[in-house]
Amino acid sequence: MWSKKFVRIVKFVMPCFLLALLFIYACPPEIARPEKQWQLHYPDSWSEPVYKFDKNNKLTKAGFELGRTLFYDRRLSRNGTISCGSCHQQFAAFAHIDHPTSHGIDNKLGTRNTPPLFNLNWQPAFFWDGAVNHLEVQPISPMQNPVEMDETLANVVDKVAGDTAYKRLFKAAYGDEKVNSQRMLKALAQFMGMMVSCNSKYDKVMRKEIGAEFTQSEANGLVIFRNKCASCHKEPLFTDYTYRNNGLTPKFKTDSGRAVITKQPGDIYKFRVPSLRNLKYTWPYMHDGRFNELEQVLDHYAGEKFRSATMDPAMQMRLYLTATERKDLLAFLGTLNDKEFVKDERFKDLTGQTLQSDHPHSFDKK
Amino acid sequence: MTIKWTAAILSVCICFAVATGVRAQYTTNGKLSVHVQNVFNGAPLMLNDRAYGLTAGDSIFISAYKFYVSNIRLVNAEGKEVEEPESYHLVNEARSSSKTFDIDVPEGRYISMRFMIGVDSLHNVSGAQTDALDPVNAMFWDWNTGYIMAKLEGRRNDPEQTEFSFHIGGFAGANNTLRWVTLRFATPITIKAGFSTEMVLKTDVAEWFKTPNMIYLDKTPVVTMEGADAVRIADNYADMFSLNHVE
Ligand code: HEC
Ligand code: HEC
Repeated sequence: MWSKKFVRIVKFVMPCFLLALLFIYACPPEIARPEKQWQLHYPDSWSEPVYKFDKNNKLTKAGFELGRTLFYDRRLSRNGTISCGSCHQQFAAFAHIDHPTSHGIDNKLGTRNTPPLFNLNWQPAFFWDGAVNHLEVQPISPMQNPVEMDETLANVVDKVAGDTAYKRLFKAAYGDEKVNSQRMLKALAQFMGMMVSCNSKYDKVMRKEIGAEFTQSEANGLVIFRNKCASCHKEPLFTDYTYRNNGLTPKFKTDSGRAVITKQPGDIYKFRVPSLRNLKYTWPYMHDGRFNELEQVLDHYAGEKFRSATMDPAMQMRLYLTATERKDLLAFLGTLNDKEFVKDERFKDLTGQTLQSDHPHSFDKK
Repeated sequence: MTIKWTAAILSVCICFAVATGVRAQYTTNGKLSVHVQNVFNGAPLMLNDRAYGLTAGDSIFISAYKFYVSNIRLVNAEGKEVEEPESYHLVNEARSSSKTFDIDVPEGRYISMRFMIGVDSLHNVSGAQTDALDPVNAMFWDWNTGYIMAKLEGRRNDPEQTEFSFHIGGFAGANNTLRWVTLRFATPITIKAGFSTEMVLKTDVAEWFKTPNMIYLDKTPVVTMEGADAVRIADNYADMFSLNHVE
């Protein structure tokens, strides 16, 4: 009796068991990823980034490290002399300090000031004129620019694919050694996208961290800033990412700014509003690097502008500040410098270590 | 007893059918094999060594000819479209392997096909792509992000051998150079699983220079950025495709 019942149960359970098995078969477990996902950290009060590390480009430590190696690899240029890091220096918040316009291969000069690199995932477009629409494709431009690295993307891929040290890095990042431009570009996007600058005194005060407090002068400066500057240099990123003409006298007449891209007369001499974070490290200032000192920037806002048809209406009035107000405003701008960012170990040039085994000089060491 | 066993086995079979249902759909696909043939006013296109006369009077040598065919769809008698997934093909006259490609198409009877010359706007704003869309193919503008939809380069057959260069791109607003092409089959084609239907897709390069817009190479030898000239040329080549042969 009992055994009959048992047989019956088995007969009904069996198909169910098989059924379950089938479903497991139909949805194979995800292929083990090389590594756990990293996270992009930023203050709660910030908006969601425009560029997210989602399934399109999962952030991993190995992907980030591959990106870092590429960023500092001089072989990305035609003659092996210039890396991204040559123009984008960490101690300058990844701008090029003391170089009004870019200084590239064979000492060739560009026409624009190297912008700093941070908080790029919030930036809707790249370059002073918004020429590039996506962080991942941005690095192609300097690689192929004749006055920057003067190499073709195809050659860069070949050079990287021919290097055994990179094989290890690609395998760690992507699970196999295949090299293509997409993998390189996504890795560079991981490295650059991780460059979040959010630990200035301003940030700490805003987060109400213990011990973080503005001085009276800085607090006064913030009020002035919000009245006179914040309409364009919008908190918390200190730019609204629009293109505007702040009344600078054109220096390179041929550089019509945003109009290079849109071909619209209404965009002539407009440039993207830059962030005001890390100004201490990023001098000189403006799209053509014309000012070495913040004092000169304030003199510009206080002085007569170059009144062309596209000058921003907010520039009609000269900026009037008393000597004290000026000092306060500068004090406030000083709270936007993020020392932790420019010293962050993760962004340091370690190519000597990661690529060492394959560098010719490693043979010199006995 | 036996009924119960049959029921059990049947349920297993049903499960199997459900689990593999998605895959089963694919097995009813046939193949459409597309062969691209490029001509100039009906004469076979030969890079570099053959001069072709233009309606505008000039004669030219052609050194490079590349274009994207994307978003290919076949349309059946009811107007329903089937779309090739990830449909991006870069045709390069200098690379014969690029002039033949196969498409998986569900079984059925189709009366026409549609595709785009160029790369849809979405893929112009989505970052680093691969395969046909890999920027190493030199069909990508790095200084003003976007794909070059079609490229024609060569020189005029004059004493100076002046070069001309058309890189046609632009995907938004008034600068949009994306062009849809619809081609009706002379007789409906039938796609069958396990069979390959061959098709010759012809492009006539002479169309780049005429109707609706006459292009004079002395006035417009170089078009390598988006704008009105690029749009005029895209309007010209929009009707350069024809179907030669389907079997
Ligand atoms: C010769 C100096 C130089 C080199 C080398 C260089 N850059 Fe730049 N970078 C610039 C200049 C100048 C700009 C601004 C260009 C413009 O606005 O037209 C820029 C802009 C950028 C931007 C956009 C920043 C913004 O705010 O819009 C990013 C991101 C960037 N570079 C990353 C890189 C990467 C990655 C590499 C290496 C593949 C690299 N750069 C190599 C000089 C350089
Ligand atoms: C109408 C919008 C607008 C207002 C208001 C404005 N700026 Fe600017 N600012 C700009 C633009 C646009 C640029 C870039 C101009 C260029 O390079 O051509 C700029 C550049 C700067 C720079 C150079 C940054 C760099 O990295 O090169 C500083 C510093 C600066 N502004 C500070 C201020 C201060 C301080 C105020 C308030 C007194 C202010 N701005 C008000 C639009 C504005």
